[in-house]
Amino acid sequence: MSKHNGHPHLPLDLQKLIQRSFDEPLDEVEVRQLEHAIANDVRAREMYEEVAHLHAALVSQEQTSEFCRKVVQRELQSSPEVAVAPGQDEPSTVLYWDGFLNTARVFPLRAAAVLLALGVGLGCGVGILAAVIVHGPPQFLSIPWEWSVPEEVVARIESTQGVKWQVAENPETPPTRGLRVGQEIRIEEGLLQVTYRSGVSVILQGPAVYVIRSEGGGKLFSGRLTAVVPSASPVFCTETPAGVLKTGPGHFGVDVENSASNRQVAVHVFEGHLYEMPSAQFVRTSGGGIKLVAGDSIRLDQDQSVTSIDVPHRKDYPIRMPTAHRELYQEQTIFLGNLFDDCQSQSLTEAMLSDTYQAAAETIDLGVAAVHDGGLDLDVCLAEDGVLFNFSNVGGGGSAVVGLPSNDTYRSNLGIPIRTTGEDLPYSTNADHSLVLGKPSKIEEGVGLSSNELLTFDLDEIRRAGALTGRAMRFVSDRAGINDRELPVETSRTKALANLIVVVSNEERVLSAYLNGQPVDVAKQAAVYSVRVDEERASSGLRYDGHFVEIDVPIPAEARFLTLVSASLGADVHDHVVFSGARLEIEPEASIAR
Amino acid sequence: MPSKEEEFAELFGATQQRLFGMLVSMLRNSEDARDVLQQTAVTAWENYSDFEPGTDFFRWMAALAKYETLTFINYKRRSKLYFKQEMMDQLVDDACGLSDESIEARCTALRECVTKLADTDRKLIDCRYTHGLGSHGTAKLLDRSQASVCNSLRRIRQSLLRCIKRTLSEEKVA
Repeated sequence: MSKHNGHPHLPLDLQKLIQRSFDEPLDEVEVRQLEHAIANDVRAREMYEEVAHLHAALVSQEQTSEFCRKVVQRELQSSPEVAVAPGQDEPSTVLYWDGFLNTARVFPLRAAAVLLALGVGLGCGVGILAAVIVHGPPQFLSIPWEWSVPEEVVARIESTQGVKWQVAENPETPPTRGLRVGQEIRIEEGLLQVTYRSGVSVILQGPAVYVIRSEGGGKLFSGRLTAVVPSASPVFCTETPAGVLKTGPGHFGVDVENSASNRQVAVHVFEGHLYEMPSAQFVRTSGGGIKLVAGDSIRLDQDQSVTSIDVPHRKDYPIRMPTAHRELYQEQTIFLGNLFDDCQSQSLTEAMLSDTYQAAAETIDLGVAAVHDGGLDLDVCLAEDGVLFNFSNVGGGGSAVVGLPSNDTYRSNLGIPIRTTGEDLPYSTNADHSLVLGKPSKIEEGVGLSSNELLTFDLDEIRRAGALTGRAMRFVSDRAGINDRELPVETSRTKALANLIVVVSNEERVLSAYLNGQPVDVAKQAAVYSVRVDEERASSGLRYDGHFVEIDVPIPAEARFLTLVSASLGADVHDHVVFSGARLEIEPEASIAR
Repeated sequence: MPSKEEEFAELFGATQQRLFGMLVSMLRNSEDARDVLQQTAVTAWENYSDFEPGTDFFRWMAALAKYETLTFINYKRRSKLYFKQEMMDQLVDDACGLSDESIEARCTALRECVTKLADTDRKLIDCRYTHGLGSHGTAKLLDRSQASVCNSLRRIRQSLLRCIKRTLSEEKVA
């Protein structure tokens, strides 16, 4: 054979890297180097793909024929079903599931072997198919994670439908949709879907209280859940007050009644895909496991006694959430506060039609990626998969004010309407001279934040809801500043002070930032961004003096997040920040081409 | 009339080598690629009723395979060591541009080319692929350094690629 180099136009180092990438693991720098090369040089990509297909062909023709022969021979000498101990040499193309209780891996070899024997003649790929057909198709797919977030985020709020948190006057939204071990979910009503990194889906039905316990499970203190465990997932554990349900792949339901007068747990196995084995096991707190197979339904009473009960109707334990409704958004303006009463499955058109005064911004709302109330004296993630930002040099403080950012009002639990046009809030006085506020209701469109609050919108989610993928926009607020006085209190006039910061970013970097309506540079140190301004500008802030700033921020198509921040600048009273008329203006499509 | 299983088996059998090659290019590891291929087959079978007869089966499978690859990468939690999604998309597109016939022709040529290798080279290929040993394991088995094994494998693969090209062009002329 010729010793001529087949790819003389490519640098030798790159050729070596391409070849080596199939022989041994590359480090991160090498992976990025390789990726850059094959993304930017067609010839490099041609060589890379040529080597990949050669590698695949060598593996296929050398290994699979040998493997098929061995498997068929072994099957013909064995009993109808063979349990293979973990670690024992076994064919990798036969489907198996190795999660449940770490027991033996079992697969019906005889039936598989028939197909495998057939498969030898057909190139052996049928071996994979054999496993599928022999076992029957698993019905439960893994929900892809596709989210670059810290390892400690083990699950996330995937979607919601009509959710209300348990404490109505003080919404208990998690700051982001990422869920960590120990995090509680308390819903009063509606459906909330939690998905784990492993692809397991848990749908809670309110009222329910659920706590994330690990990357492989959680505890249902009360209420109802549906768990869907996909084929390739490890054992999933659902703790209850009566014991732990350990499940393999399948569809399961759990009900917990946990009141002072009654403590009862019901477990339902609608479907399980553990071949020749129990689909689940319930381990009671008093000890002793109960093996369950598809079609089993049990109730455990307070005394841990077990009663077999009728399997409830599956539709009461939904496998998936209602499908998202999508349609092209025909308008040019998206009022951001209007999103706070809508869930992710709604279309933008539907979202704009509903406009609930005083609705709190929560991370279960359409397009809301993060909400922080206080804690702006630390490095804070603009979104779970966003960049870190530190606002302390522009007055970000640690103190929180109870009440979330909200629609048309500056605090969700008080309902003082946004007013930037000089209109007084109606009030009267009692005989004892105490003040009585007039009935609060919407006066202006907009979004309000209290001191030290951060609100991030996921622009891609908003775009998806309106079929506006790739569209550039502008964030506009006609008048942003300190809200008109809520009461004629002198301290409002003299002490109210705040900085308003707007940040446009994506998962990797800050694209632009604005302080009180004016563009500012940002600095990045050790992966943390901050606003780069001099002391005087950083501390001047906006005051309660009838002066508002106009904000007009271009949002390019590659921007993923829009963050609104109110920083207290050390002031502790009456710094009620409003973004009157806060909205996204969708740029005409022609501007994308430009 | 073939059963649904037979129909699926035929379509899958025809495309699986191209799919496997695509997955190797995405994951750079044949064992991982095999796992994902297996899961893709399961997913495809489950959703086979969604496949529109007469449309491009490979493209349909490739979309499922990409989905399974992303799930696999996230599950492995080593996403930094894999390509970004844009690169994956490019590799899927490129694989869609190939034909199963050309892949099959290359496999046939490869079988012939392997027989032309020197004994020592064939032994190395045998260790690496038949026995599925990594470069480290192969080096240990053959009492050689890992770098030397990697160099040899690179050289042999380059020879095989040239031989495949030559064989295919000769067939074309013939």
